[in-house]
Amino acid sequence: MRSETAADNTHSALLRPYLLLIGLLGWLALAWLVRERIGEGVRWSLLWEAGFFLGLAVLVGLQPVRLPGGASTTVGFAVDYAYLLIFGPAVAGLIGLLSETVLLWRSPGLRKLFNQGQVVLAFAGAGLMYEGLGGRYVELSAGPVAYREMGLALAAGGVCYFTISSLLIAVGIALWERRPAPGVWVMSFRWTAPRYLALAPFGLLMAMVYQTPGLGLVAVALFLVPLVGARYAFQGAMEMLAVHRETVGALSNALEAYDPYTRNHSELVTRYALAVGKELHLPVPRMEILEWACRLHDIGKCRQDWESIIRKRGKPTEREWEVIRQHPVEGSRLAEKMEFLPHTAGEVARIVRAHHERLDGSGYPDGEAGESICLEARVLGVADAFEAMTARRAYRGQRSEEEAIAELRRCAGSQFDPQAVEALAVLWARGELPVEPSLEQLAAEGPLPAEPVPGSAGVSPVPSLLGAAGGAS
Amino acid sequence: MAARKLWLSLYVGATIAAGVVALALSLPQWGAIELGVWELALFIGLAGILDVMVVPVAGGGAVAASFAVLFAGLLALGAGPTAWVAALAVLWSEGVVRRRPLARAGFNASHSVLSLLAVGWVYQGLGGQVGQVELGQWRPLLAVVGAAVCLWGVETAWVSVAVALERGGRLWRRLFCSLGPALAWDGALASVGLLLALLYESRWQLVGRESSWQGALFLGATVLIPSGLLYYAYRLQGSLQEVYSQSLRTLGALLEAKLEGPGTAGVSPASPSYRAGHGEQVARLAAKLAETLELPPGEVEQIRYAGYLHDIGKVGVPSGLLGRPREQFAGEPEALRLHAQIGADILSPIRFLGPAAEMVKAHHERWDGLGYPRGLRQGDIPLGARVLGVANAYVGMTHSPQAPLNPEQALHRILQAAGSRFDPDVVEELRKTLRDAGELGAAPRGAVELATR
Repeated sequence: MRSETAADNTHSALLRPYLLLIGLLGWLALAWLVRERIGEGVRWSLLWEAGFFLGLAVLVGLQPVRLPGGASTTVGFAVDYAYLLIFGPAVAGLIGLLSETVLLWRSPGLRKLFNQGQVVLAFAGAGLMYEGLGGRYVELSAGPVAYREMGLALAAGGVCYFTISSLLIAVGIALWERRPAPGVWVMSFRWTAPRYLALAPFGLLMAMVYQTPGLGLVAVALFLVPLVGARYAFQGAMEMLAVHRETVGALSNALEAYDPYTRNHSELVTRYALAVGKELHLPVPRMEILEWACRLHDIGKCRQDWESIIRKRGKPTEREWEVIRQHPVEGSRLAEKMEFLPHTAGEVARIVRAHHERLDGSGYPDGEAGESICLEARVLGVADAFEAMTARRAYRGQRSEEEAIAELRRCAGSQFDPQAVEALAVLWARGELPVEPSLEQLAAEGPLPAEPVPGSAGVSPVPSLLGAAGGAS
Repeated sequence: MAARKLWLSLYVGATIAAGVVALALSLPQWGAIELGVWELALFIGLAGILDVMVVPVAGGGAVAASFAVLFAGLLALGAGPTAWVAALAVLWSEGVVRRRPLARAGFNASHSVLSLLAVGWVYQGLGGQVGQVELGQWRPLLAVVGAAVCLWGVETAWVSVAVALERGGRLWRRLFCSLGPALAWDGALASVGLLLALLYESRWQLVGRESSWQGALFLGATVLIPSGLLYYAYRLQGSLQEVYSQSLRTLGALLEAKLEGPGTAGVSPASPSYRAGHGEQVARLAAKLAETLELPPGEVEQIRYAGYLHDIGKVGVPSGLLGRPREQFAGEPEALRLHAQIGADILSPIRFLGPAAEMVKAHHERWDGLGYPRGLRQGDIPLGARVLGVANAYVGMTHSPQAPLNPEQALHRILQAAGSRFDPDVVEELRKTLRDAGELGAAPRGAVELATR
């Protein structure tokens, strides 16, 4: 684990002291560990063995897999855990420190120092915890029976390593971005814990394999080959995911661009909703799902008679209302077909289906109320309404952002989720809401119809139905 | 067709017979080694579990993760016992888990048995010692590497032969497509297998016979965890690719629902009454043609994507021009001609779809250089675009809402335009494909259900 934030001058004044402090604490801890543990009777073979694991750690760390949402991950924890179990915290801290130094060779000094410190502290904490609970280093080769006694120690060591490392980094990021540290930790780290700890058995096996008499390094190398293979396949999968997201974004924009009333709508809704989601500290995977739902939320409107219904003057007929109320349902059916990850099956579709529900149960299509509408759908509903009210498209009764926020606040609790509305208002007040491009930018972007408005809509009537629906599109 | 079926059943029968004989003949080899219950349970159990973990390879067919255990067995137990382990595992995974017909399960089990016995013979021929893997010296090391390479080659060849017999196409081409992807998979598993063999030899002495369940547990975890991870990553990649293709299909169909005439209006791809639209049919036919032209699998996929999306540029065309009768051979209004370029503009920012964007851009180019937007000629037009052009014309003519042609008429008109409008080779391929699919002669239009997957 490593902090990946980029240099910026908006971070907190406490940041530099914090980074310096952690770095120095780490170095002190390492000095203490080395003095206590490595003194007399150093085997020379230890140097060679530790060097092997250092090489391994660097090799694995050099090949991170980019995850959606900008984070990256490696199988590095398996290797870290293995050499902690083989050598104990002193040598492991040393290896960790050196590998961070190599991996961050080109980074600014302070960041390097911090990462060195956090790694050593994590190893020290994990090692002491492991020993305190009865873990021993020499008996790994004795066979699985020994683990019945050491199971607790092994688990606690892994948890301790993860907790220390993730907390230290979360505080760093929080100071960097001026956000509350618990929020940062929830958003970026808490959900990674199971994935992270699932690598622990790997580390344990690697240590056991390593200590099998007569095998050692060869066996560890053989053990790593499938890991590297899996890493490449996983990378391919993540690239496919990125391509998928990009494609769905581009194509749904193209679908919207056909209709000047909706051009750029989903794009902006996505930006607003993601900003609100971040403000509410949604964990990264939920943000991912939210983004997909935003991009696809109006896809149920892709039917030929939609425009004629929506642009009709006067009241829509009962049948037309039915069509309108069905668009989230239709959209969720389509979203189901486009979903991307096996373990999120149905979630994007669920959000799309619920984005016109209201808190008081008067929404459509299911009339769900309150908490039974998922949080993402409530966020999407607020972003959708905000965009519809403030859109700077031509020929629309546009409101200013202040007016729109006042309107949202008025309906908060009955129609909209108050939490999401407040988050949006706070973002707007702080000037952090991703602003909409001007009309000129819109015109310069993307493929526009050769004739901007198909049919007779060029006379720019305010669409009666959109107006009547309280601004929510 | 009938002749191929006869050959296929003869071949399957002969393989099964040979497998059974080989298994019987290998029985005496069991005497040479001493196997405990736990050891046998370990190998059979692992092979059974890993044999269910199957990933598809590019040339058709699939390879299983049991490669690791079988390779380890070859090194540690010898070919005879391993052949028995393999036969049991395959019969279990094919017959019980996937409920395939007995003949098929028997065929797969037999080819596993035969290839294992052959590779075991190679291993010993190269100087390898069963039950004593030595990596320090070059001769035994060579034997290990040689055995792994042989097992990889033989297993992949078997799969390719079976797929070629079942679905046709040239054998060497399928084999060629499969060997590379199978190498990455089998290579990683061979290393797991070697680790298992090494650990088996040293660990078993270490923990002792009396507590051998512990050894089995440890060895089982050492094999299952890395192979499971590998399998998970491969499956994830495969399923994402599938979902991607599905998404493009859906988006293409939505686009049609938005642009096309009343025939498709209101019927979205999600509804049960949905009928494969123009884009989907073009995609299917174009991919089928590309496959018979033996293009590499990646390009076939791009052609399929381009088929789904080839008309996406029509979002930029005034709606008054759309939904008119498709005049395949008449000139089109200038504005409609823009759609090829606009489609490419929409797709080209998506880097992954680069080749497909090129095809979309050029799908109205003509062989004689009179097409649009660039007036490219012959070989300058990307092959995918030529395939797409032919498929688009055929589907357009046979499914025109105004005056649909039957397959023979449509083919006739396309044949007439071969060499002027269309690439003659692609047209010839279309003729063969339609003939093989039984489209010609069997008159009613529609229902072009070409199995492409």
